[in-house]
Amino acid sequence: MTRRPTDPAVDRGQANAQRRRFLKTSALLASGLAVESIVPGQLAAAPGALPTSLDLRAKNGNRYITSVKNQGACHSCTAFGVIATIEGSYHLQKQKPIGTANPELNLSEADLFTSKAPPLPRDCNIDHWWPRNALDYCITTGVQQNPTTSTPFKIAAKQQLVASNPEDTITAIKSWISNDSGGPVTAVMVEFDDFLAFGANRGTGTNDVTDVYDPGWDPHAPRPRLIGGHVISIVGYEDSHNGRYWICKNSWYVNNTQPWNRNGYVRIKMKGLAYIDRIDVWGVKV
Amino acid sequence: MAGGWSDIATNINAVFADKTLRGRMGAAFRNKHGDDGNGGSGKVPYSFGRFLEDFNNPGTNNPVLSDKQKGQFLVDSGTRHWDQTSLANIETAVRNSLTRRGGSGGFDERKIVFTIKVNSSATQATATVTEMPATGTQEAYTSIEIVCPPHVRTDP
Repeated sequence: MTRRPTDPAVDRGQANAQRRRFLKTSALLASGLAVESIVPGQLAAAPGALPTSLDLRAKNGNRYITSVKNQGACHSCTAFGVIATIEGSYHLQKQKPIGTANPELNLSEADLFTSKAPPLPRDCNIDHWWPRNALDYCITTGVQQNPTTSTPFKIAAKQQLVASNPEDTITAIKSWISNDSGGPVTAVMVEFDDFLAFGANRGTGTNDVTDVYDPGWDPHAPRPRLIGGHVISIVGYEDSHNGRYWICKNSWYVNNTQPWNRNGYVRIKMKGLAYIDRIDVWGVKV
Repeated sequence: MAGGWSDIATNINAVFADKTLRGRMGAAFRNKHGDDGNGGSGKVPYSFGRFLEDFNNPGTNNPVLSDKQKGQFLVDSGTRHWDQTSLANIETAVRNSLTRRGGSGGFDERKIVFTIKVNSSATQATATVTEMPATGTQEAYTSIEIVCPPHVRTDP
């Protein structure tokens, strides 16, 4: 495939405009004050300003993402996805890479799941709720830490990253993840039954494109059974040699013994049929 | 949940209400899924979610749903959130409408009207399909009344 010729002057003008938006956004992120007021489109970054790949499990040799936890058979993915995002955001934004000096922040998914955040009552078998409600609870009330402390852990703000243009959303998510004032994000994806089985036989695998999840990619093949929605945490991305995908932290184990797929992580295609980057994506400020 | 389906109802009711647009929708349906909706010969077997996901408004040729609405709709339409008999009944009603033959042997798509209601105590969505006879100037149509749990309760 050939690349469309472009006018360098036009490219430079667009790049400069995007860079100004990026710098403005960066300042807002760094201030920690006006996050709620950021319009997602403002998060567009200048071409070249973002790394082509980033993994918060090993950013500049530092780990900012806490251990994978197991939601078991309880429909509590929202609590797990939100907590994973808050924990990772804490370590990155406070510049406390996980290690001996900075043990993992360990917030209680059970506390969030059983909280009085709407809607109630919640039940492992039937009830699910959107990240917005869980995040609001973490802002107003806070969530308990493990082991329990006298003061619940609160976050300062949440930020919706979905824009009307899918590419703007992708840029916004990348910007948030790659900025030290941002971090991982919570995302809602469409769940098909092939996702349940996707990780069971993957092991550690190599970085081949066939290992990137995209449900029903073949329009002429029967689509896998549609189950509903699922919440996970996006902790990185890759958009170079293997196509574009998100690195996602899940909360599943296989037979309650081994973390699902790649030690609990999965790569999901950007703008794929899981819709992970187009429904509901939240960054948090701790 | 009602949110995702309300978007569907608003958009698709407008198409079903217009006989010309309805005819175009039927043609697009049969072109993609075959004259009986069962696929074959390189065509994809019909399912309601997949049909709507890819469906363009036959009047404007723009997607009926935005990407966000499509994703929302799919989240709302999974087995976790739906009474499966109801979902099957909707699929059948839409298929029957868009593959219906008229008296001359050509296709004569039947009007469908979706109505969305919310039941705050419901945990799964249900649908009631009713064939409504013609009355006065009102043509006969298929009524699909969907009763959803409230938006906040049935998502991921």
